[in-house]
Amino acid sequence: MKEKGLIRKKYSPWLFIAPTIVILISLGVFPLIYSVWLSLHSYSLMDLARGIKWVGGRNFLDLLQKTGSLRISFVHAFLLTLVYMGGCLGLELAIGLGGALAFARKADKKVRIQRTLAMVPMLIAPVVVGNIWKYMYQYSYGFANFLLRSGGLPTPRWLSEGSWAMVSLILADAWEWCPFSFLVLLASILSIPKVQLEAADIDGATQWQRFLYIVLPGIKKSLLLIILIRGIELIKTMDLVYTLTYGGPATATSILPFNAFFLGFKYFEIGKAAAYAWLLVAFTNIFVIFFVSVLREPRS
Amino acid sequence: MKGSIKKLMKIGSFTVTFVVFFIYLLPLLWAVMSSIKDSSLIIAIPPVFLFKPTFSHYLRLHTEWIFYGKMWNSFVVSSITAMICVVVGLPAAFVLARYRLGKDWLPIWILSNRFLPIVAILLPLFLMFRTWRLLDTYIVLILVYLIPNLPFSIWLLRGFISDIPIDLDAAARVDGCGSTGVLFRIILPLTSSAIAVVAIFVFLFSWNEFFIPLVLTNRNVVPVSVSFAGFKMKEWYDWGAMTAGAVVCLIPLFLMVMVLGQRIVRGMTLGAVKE
Repeated sequence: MKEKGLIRKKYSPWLFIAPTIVILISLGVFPLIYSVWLSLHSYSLMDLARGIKWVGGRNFLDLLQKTGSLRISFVHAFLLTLVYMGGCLGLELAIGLGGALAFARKADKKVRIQRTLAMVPMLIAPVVVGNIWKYMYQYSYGFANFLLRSGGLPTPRWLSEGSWAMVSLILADAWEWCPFSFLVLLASILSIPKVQLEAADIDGATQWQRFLYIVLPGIKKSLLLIILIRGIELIKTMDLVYTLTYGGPATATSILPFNAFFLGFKYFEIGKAAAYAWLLVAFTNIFVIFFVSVLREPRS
Repeated sequence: MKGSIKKLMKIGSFTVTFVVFFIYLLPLLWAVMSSIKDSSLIIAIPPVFLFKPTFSHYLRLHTEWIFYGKMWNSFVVSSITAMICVVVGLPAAFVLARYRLGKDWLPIWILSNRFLPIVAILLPLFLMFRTWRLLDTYIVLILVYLIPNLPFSIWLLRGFISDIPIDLDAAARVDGCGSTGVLFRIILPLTSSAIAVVAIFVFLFSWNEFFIPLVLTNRNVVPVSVSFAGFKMKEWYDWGAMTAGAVVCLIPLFLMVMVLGQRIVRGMTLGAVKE
């Protein structure tokens, strides 16, 4: 009798979590393993007569070059992704930090409504944001160029000129997500003990010193957290690219996830797409492990 | 004298913040404005600011794009996903918070599913569901939505449960409650508002999901987000219908933002930032 009670106590917690584990293994882990198998085979839904053939590491090697269905080499796409991530993170952190510093001084009830309003963009579906910005970016009747023209500035062809397309993507993403870093950094700045700031004032610290030696160490963790969370989302960016530029013009904005999608669901090169996706997973893992280990560093 | 300067400064800074927010929200305001313009005015150069409003685009959404029917699909899929996430996620969050099950690796493994690039599993899943003839059904959409959303719910709920003093559990156990009793009599009532927050978030994420349904649906259960892939005729874009659709999707969003308020930050950072 007593023994039975013990067993129940030991195993019942696992019963509570069993459904979760079953769901995640069957829909998350199993497809990934299946995808390893796929990545080692030559398999095309467009050319079923070719059948499924074992090719070993050929798919991975093919990705490194620009061949056939692949319009851009993996390395090139990887660099584009880094540019995109760097641009978005840089802009979002700069705007978010500037805003948070400006607002930290008067974070009282009055700004609460505005803070709530500022949250709206990051909850809008990225695909809707992409559409709205596509309308803004139109060359002749778009609102962005209307503003530039009335300011007497040159008007770029936002979405159809190589490097401007990347800028358009970054601006649209930063528009949607700078509230995120703004709000996280604001919360973090407000949680810095007032005593420290007052002590700095008494010691006659300049604004810059105050920022460098008290605020910045205080928000370091939040900065890393933003880079981690946003970085993971940026590696996955699909909706915005799909609606705004569709990887173009030519391949100017063909970042990693878009290429994986294009290979798999436009050319139906299943084997190559699986290999591509696996490299993407590897990149995500490296990124996450690096930033988690930095975040976990014991405070000195 | 000093008081009036202070007052002036206050008005000044208020105006500045107002202007900044106005500029920031300009794309949205512009979309709202365009949605009630006549088609000919939408692409006018220079843009027109004074015009007679028309609601024809909102009607065309129904007649030409079957937009509102797709909203029903989105609603069904999103609310069922939210329900499953709460029902499956709460017990899991409970044992993770209270039993320290699987030390650190189990919660991290669960979370890693949220970080997985969805394109990596979508291809094998597409092949699997294709063989089983399950493509273009509610079930498949809901199942795949669980992959990012269930880990999210568990992490957020785990944080909320950890905030509840463990003494309450102990007291209930002394009174003869088992794990199930603690979950239903202590944790459930105390996390009811957290559950609502999680459900709203999952609903919103599922509503916004674009890429998964783009691949896995084609006719019967297409959700509303996918219609934003194609407000496009052969040569021109139907900006009127697009902006009207965006506004329709914005209204429930505004309501949710008002309900969630500052808790949005906690949700978006998976509980890492509490405010």
